[in-house]
Amino acid sequence: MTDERSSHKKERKIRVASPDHVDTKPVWLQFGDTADVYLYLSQKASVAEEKWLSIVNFVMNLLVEFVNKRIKEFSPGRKLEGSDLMRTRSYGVVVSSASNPIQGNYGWHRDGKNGIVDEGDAKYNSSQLMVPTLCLQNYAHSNTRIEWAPLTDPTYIAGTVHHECVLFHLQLLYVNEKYKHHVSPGLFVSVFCCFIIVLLTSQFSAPCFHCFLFRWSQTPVPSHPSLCLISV
Amino acid sequence: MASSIEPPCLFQSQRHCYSILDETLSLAVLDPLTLDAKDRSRLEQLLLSYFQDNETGGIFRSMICYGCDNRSVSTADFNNFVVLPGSHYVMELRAPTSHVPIQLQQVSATAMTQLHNNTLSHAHASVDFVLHYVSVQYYADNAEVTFHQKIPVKWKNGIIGKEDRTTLTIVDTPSLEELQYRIRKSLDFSIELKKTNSYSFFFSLASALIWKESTPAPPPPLEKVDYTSLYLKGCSDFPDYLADLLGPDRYLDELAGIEVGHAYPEVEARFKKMYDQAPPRHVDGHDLKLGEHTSEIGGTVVALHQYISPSFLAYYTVDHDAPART
Repeated sequence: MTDERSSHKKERKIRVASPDHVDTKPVWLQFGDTADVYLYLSQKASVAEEKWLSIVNFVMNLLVEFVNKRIKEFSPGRKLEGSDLMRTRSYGVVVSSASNPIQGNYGWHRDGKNGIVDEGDAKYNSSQLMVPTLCLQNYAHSNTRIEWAPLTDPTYIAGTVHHECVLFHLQLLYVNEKYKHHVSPGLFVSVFCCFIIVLLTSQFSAPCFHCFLFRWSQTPVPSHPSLCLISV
Repeated sequence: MASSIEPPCLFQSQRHCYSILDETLSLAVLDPLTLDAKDRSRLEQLLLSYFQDNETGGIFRSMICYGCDNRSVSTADFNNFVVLPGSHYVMELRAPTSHVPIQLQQVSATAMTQLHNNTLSHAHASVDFVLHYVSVQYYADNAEVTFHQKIPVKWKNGIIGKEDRTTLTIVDTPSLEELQYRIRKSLDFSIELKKTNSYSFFFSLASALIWKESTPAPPPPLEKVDYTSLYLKGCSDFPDYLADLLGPDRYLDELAGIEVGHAYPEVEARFKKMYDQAPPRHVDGHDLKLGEHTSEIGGTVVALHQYISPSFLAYYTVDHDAPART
């Protein structure tokens, strides 16, 4: 299971996939902080990944329509500029990671990395970064939890989402600008592996997503929900 | 000629000047044969006193056109913008000759027909004439006024009081004094509107017609919209909206219209079994406070538990790799 290329110092496997990927024009996604930057090269997205992107784009643009409708209601007689409205989202890259949460090292972090956000661009800075994340685990009850702490008061846990079984969570506007988050393992984490799918939005024509994923083998299906990881 | 030049007088006001103009034109339009000696003498006296190309005439023209006594107005402009419309386009100033001072004379029949056909153009030219003066004199520091491009015809029609071209008659052309009043009202209105709504159109019909209101109501102030708060509130309310859309038994992939079939029944059954053991599905919204000691919300996280269908999870988690190289 050792895959130095996709793990990079951590016990995890990563896959970057884009429907727009071609060998001559791949998507590069930056991981790590400035002192230890490394890039992942994309692969061509599978059919299932494309379908997942369709679901994500549907949900996020439901949000965009919902918020923009509110803004128009509260701005009667006012000519709204494009910058006044929430821009339509178009997610185009899936990043998948599979790991045990205590070894995957999901410590305190923010998702807005270079290439995903551009702090100099009001449309694509950290405040505009919305991160849809699908989290899967082979356990039907609350196990791990994701916690958010404000940057201005980092010891205070502002919100906690428990990963019960199949969790799809959305970090909406400003969350990745004002908060950091981490995955906190639960009591049974050493017994039951946890796999998370995270999607990150990006600002350019080839947006980068960040997703954590595991896969079960097609056959045979194990009699108990243990995992067979397929190399990505 | 029995008439003499009226002693120079200090013009009391623009209205006073207009009363002189009205008296002069009312006498000039009468048939000379019906004028008695007294009226004829009075007309000549008025013409010599106020309509000549001298200092008094200059002051008179300036007072008529601008309401002040220190602006230069050519005889031609005075004729075009004051005498012709003031006499319903039947009288005009005749240029002086070496031995005859400036006189008022009847416009020729041909020219009169032409003038009557072009009364709207003349009225628009009067608006331009006054607007130019008003822009320089009162709104020199306002870029919207000073650097205006082509003035919309609708605005000009509104200023002269003609929203419908078909109802224009030559007797309705306002005086320059009245035009200045209407234009300044319009510009003041537009400037106030711009303060509250930067997108408002400056030379709008509404502003052109504001002179019709005796005491125009100030434009309703538009409240400053705090878009960040609206974004945050919208995000905070989104979980409930999404939960309503999903209803009691719909999966997210179904709502999005994604069909994957049931190609992997064994894996699907495994997910179904997990769902049977898992807590009931629910949508949660987590409004994140910015600190322990504040109630201010800085963002929202939405969590959907067990909302992806087992069939999609099976489809997604079973190997579907695209070709390794594309």
